[in-house]
Amino acid sequence: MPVPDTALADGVLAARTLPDRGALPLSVSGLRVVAGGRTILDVPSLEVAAGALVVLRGASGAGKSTALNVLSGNMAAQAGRVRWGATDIAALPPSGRRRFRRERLGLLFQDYRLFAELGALDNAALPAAWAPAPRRAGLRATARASLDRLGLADAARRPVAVMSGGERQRVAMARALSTGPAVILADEPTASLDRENADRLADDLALLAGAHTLVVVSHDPAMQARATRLLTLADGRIVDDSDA
Amino acid sequence: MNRRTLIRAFTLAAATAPLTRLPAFAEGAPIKMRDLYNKDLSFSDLALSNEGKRVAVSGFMAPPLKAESVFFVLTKKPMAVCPFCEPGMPWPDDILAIYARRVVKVIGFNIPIVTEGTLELGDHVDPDLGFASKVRLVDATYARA
Amino acid sequence: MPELSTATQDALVALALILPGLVCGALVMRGYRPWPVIAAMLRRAAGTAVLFAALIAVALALGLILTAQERGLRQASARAADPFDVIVAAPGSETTAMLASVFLQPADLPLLTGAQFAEVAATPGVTLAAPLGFGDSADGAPVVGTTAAFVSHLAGPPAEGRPFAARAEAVVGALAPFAPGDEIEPAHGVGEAAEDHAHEGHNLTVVGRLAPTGGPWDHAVIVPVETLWDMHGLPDGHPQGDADGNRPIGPPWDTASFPGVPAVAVDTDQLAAAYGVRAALSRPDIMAFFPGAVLAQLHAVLGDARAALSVMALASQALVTVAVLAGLALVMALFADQFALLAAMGAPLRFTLAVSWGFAAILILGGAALGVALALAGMGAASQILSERLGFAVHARLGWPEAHMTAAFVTLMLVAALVPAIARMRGQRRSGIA
Repeated sequence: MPVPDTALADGVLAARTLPDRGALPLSVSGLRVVAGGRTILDVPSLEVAAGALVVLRGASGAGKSTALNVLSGNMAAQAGRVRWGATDIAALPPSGRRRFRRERLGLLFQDYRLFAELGALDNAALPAAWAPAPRRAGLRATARASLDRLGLADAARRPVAVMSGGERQRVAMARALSTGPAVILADEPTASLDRENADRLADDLALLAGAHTLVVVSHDPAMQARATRLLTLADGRIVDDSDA
Repeated sequence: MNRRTLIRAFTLAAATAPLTRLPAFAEGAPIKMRDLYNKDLSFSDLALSNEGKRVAVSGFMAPPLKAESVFFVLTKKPMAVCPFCEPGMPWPDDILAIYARRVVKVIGFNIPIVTEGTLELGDHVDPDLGFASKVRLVDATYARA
Repeated sequence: MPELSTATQDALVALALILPGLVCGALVMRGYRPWPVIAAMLRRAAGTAVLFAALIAVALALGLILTAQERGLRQASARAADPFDVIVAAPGSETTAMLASVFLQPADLPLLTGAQFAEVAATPGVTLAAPLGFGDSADGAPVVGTTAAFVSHLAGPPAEGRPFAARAEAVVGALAPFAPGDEIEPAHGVGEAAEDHAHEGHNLTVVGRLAPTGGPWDHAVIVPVETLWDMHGLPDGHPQGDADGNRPIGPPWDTASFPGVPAVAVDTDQLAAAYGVRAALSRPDIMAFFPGAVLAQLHAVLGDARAALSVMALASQALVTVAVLAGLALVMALFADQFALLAAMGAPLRFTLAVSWGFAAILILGGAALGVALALAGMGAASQILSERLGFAVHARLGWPEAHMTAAFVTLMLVAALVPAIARMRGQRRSGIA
């Protein structure tokens, strides 16, 4: 299945003036993150093609979360460059990284992080709360289209509190897609789901590759099986890098 | 109050603000009460020419007759029950009845005040208090001189 | 702005007071739609939110009721004193004489003699001089002796029945516990010290009930002043020799046999006359004063007390503000996950400010609205309690001063709510997504 919301998302994106459109390539060099006197991430060089589905794995404490935080600009690096397309987010001030996140990034979490008190559509269109006025309607339309495509057409008004884990993670996915992001970062997105729902989500994520660059931290073999590239971290270093 | 009324009030305030500076006595020293009368207690030219206009008059606030009223009497000299005043002395005719804009906050009878209001001449009987007056300042504001 | 009506002025002041709060809100919220997020948080912390809004409401309502009742009290007491232009009494405390004659408070006043009364009545400008006699009671209601003319000046024609026309007759105030036709046996003295049956054989028949005046006289039993003198075995100011069965009441009185009265209510027709009467009768042996002026003095003192009370009301409101805002900071900590999510998704810093400030603003505005509703609901009850305690009718209503207090309170709280909101925003600068 192609990604039917791309055209819509592109229309939405056209309202902004950004240098890059569509999926972005990632280029990391000389990246080093130190915490408490210990190097917790050390990536001398990493190139990821635009539209790739990268799955990141490794033991607990290997640096996966740190990697996601640095790639999303939630954490500053002590040294190195993290370039998404032409933008080196490691060189940006915190406000610039925030802006990059809200304009180019979609996020998925193991625990969904939805507002349980709100309906599916309000959750999926959450970024409309702070988006500029001209973009709000398009953003909500994109969110609704994503919910439709993810099989939640009738659930737009249902409170998230009464939904299953699988449904919630799909609402979260609609939220991640609502801004038409270039990059989607996910942290163990299938870990809280039963097998059936985990497989379905992995399929949905795999479909996003191409139009979006995905970096997914996951131990789920089903997720790893759908990766275009599999990176293994240990002690903050990439110890294995294999194309799937 | 709806917005239109408010806007009108603002416009009115802006439009009329310069006008209030124009009347002869609003800017200069306040009128003395005796200047409102000729020697025979008829109205002076000054009083007649300012009828219906806002004027400022200096004087003293007589102890008010009623509490929580908008009415008080402006006197030329401090007025109170004083052992030196002659008993039975007729109340002077050159007093000014003041109808204030808001409920009167009593100011001591011996503290000079300036009262500004619209000058009204002619006999008038207050419908509530039943008091007759010849000269009045209405819609008045007052402050210590 | 002397051209604007007082209502417009008051409205502008209210607007000026509320404006800083609204401007603050507009600056914080500009361009954002944080309401779904705030609604979600409110639903999650509903109990706490209701509690905080209630705290705000009670603090505001107490302040509003306090100031409105104080104003109502001043207006009601002024209305009670309205029929009394000048009061003449033997030298002493003007306040005591005023409280005794206008508010029928028991007091031991020295008496004016018959000669003095005659002088008062003959003073130029006096249209009505009525002796007032106090000191007795009937079933807790004060018994007052005066003239039929003064009763009519005070309350107009009786609402029921007719004015008294003989010594054994009485009219009662609108709220007195008697009805036309009742027999009354007055007691000597008032309250606990009242001696029942001291006036044995001086039974009164109620012949009329007065229309309500809103004043303390509404609770009184009013009799010819001669009746009071009779009951106390005094001469009655009318030359002896009349037939016992139909002795006269009312003026004129014989100076020599006039037994003395504690106070005389004087009415004048002219403004100048009122001041003239007061000047003429302010002598070493007689005191004349405007009850309105004495009341205004008391109100000035009351005004000082009100200023103190207002400060305390404001202080309690400020305390509630601080407590609520401190509490809000804790409530916001409950939403650390939600704020972390907003940060991870790249929501602008000011958006997080809009969320936490908007949350507080909802509580503040809701609490203020509830407070005004509480004040409206409680105002009648407070007026009734006050009226019963004081013996005259207090009708307090919310007015512009309360609108100003509400506006100032809301603005103060809205601006103060920025403090924890900004603290929350600062705390959001660092946070990871995983």
